Amino acid sequence: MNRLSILAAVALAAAPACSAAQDTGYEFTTKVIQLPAGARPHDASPGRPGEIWYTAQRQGALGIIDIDKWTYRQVPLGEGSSPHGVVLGPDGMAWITDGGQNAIVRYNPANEALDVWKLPADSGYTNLNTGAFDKDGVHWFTGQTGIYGKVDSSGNLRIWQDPDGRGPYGIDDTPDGEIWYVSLAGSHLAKVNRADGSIEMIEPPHENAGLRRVWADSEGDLWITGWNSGKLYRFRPASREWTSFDLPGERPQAYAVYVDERDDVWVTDFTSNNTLVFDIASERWVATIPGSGPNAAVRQILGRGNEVYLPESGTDRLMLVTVKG
Amino acid sequence: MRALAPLALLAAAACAHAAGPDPATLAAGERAYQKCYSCHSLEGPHPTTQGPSLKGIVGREVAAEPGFRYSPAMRAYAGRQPRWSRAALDAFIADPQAVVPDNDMGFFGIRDAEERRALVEYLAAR
Repeated sequence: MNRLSILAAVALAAAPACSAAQDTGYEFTTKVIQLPAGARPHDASPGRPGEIWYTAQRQGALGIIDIDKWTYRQVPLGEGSSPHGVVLGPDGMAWITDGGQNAIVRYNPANEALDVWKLPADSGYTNLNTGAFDKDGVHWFTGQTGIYGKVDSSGNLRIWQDPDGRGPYGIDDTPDGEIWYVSLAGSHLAKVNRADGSIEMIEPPHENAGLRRVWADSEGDLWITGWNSGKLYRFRPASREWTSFDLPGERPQAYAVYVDERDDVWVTDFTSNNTLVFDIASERWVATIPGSGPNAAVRQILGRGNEVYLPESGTDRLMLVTVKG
Repeated sequence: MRALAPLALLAAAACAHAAGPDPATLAAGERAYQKCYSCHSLEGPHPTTQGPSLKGIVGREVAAEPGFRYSPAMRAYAGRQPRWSRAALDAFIADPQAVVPDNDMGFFGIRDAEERRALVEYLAAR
């Protein structure tokens, strides 16, 4: 573990990739980019080919990293902006859940134009969180004060109230294009009825688990982090069966979850300051990737191909992990 | 008459304080609290909110909710600032990371001084 930390620090200084092979045979390289002080990169996403996008939450900007040159620039999103999530839309644009502007913001990389779709004034501050696209290209999003909603590419926007109130957080689409989200404070999973906006709420096996984020694998199983329970959950919609897996260590706090294109599950643990990789087939943790510094606080994970992006909100850095094989 | 004017102002201020904040301030504070609502309840400790309850926060000991996992930064702050005075709350809400660097709160503050004042008054009334 110490060896890996040192290697990561070297990569930060000189920006070369470093290799790591763990006893499970899982191999990857990492490199780290230092972003502006105070940027607090919250979420990251694949951007245009060769680019990584990230939200500079504290600086009200969308960050754009050129992977080849290993450089970045930031695009201001507007007065009061405080962006939380960013995802690549089917239109090739960045769709941003901007809590500060209480708006969904769309950035067009072709001409740098911004669309700012404000939530209804009577919604008040909704603490917009994360977004995902359904199979019709409609963008669904959560707001942590207790709302979820949708907006289409013309800016037609609608929101609904979560019956449990505060908490809607992570959201994802399954391979069949349906939308699921989890409520952190409400501690439930929700399947959205895309036709009428209603939800079906599904309780996890542990009370007050604090479901933080959700991601679907290629089979449509949902992988969910329990912030309070310190567990990784799998919910199988076909059988409605829950299975839980303990994170290693004492009192883990499971935050981000992402299933990569190889169907490996990536999870961050705030207690140990590690990102962990879980192998679905063997149901074992197969890799541990320490943060590049203390309290790296990786709050979201996404990737493309064999790349996985770890935005470190606590160090103002982003770690690019490249998986071998 | 000029000498009496300050006394009259003091008396008016004292009456206003005794009566509590005006409804407009409380309403503004309630709106401002919506920025806190996701993570902080007003009903006492909550099992799944991400932050401690704000019930009775004004005058309460810092980092003292039983069972809550405060960050090391917030626990250290409690050594310097034992209780949440109105002034301490105002400064923290203005820029949480400046007052308590490396605290865990995912909120970057309220710049508007009037909005902060209304929020503190609203919290004080809870």
